[in-house]
Amino acid sequence: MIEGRFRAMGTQVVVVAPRPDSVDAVFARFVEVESTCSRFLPDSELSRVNKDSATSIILLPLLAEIMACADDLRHRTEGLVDPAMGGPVEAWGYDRTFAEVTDLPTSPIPVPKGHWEIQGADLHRTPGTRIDLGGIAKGWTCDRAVERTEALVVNAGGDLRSADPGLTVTVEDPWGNAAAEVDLGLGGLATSTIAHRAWKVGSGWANHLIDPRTLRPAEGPVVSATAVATTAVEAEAAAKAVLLLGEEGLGWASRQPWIRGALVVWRDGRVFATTGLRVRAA
Amino acid sequence: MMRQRYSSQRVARILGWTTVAVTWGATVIARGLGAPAAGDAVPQEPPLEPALVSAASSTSLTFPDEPDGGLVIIRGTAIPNPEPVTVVRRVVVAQASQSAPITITTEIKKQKSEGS
Repeated sequence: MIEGRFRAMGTQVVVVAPRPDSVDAVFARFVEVESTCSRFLPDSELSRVNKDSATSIILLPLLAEIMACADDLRHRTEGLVDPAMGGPVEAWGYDRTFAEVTDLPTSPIPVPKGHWEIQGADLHRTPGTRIDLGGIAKGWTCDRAVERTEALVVNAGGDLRSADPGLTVTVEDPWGNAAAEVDLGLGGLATSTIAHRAWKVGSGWANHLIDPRTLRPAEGPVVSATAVATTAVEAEAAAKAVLLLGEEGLGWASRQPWIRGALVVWRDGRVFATTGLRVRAA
Repeated sequence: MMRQRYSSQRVARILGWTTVAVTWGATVIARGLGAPAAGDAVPQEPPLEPALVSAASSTSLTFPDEPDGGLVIIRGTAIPNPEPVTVVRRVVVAQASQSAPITITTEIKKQKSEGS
């Protein structure tokens, strides 16, 4: 096996694959999805959709497939993970790549999230709905690369899909310590944190995870949540939902049949998990 | 005469204030050199609360709601000596959003997930 690394979708991607040309194939897949789904690339299909004022629009197959996946996860997470949060996220200052985000002097006027539905390739939405597929597209691409047997493991900035039955994942807390070791084996694992992608707004802080219930950056006792599911994209959505739910996150995760288990790092550094994980202290 | 004008107490006071002034000046200069140029983005890591929490006080803190099947406590005490809050100076540079892959041959059995 070989390990390949490259940057795509604003993060470091690690690929474990049988041959160098397999790594190239995974790289090409990330480039394809990013050039379709990035809201930061002005020529991407998603940027064109976000700029278009039409309330109904026909999507090309790749974007339609990823939007259908996002729709499914929106329902499973009871609306907590919704790509129509693009407007509120941009209002809080994350309207450019994170490396270019600057501090804001005051909190923004709240921007409502959009409403949308997808039927086949037809996207219908309320005027002004802006789509953000960040984490969903990343997890989806990891899954597709492994499902198409291009790679044994793909890890895109902590969103990971594995076809290696012996794979162990070290989950790090926001302070750089190993929080736990998870025997993942086959499946998806993702970690979402509000500690890294954050910037100052007035006298407080904003982060990249805007809560659709409050239209404000996530706040609560959880600074980092990790979830394990069958796929990376499911794990990604589950981790975000657990983080947003705070004290209720692990309880909610334990009642979802599609989530194998979850782990949270509390603001004071304590680490808790559901019983569904094969996990131990690192 | 000098001995009369500068008593040992006065000399000590002068030396003390000189030390304070030099220290203060050095700090100001150091801060000035480290300060970013106007227009640079200067995001910081948000303050994480372990700095305010001692291990001994962790028992009075909240816990997650009990999941079905029970709660597993992997690390039960607060971090007693967390790293100080990191201040990151980030300079915006034009960069490609993607980079061609590099590969290495290795035995790979472990991955990391630090979150995004």
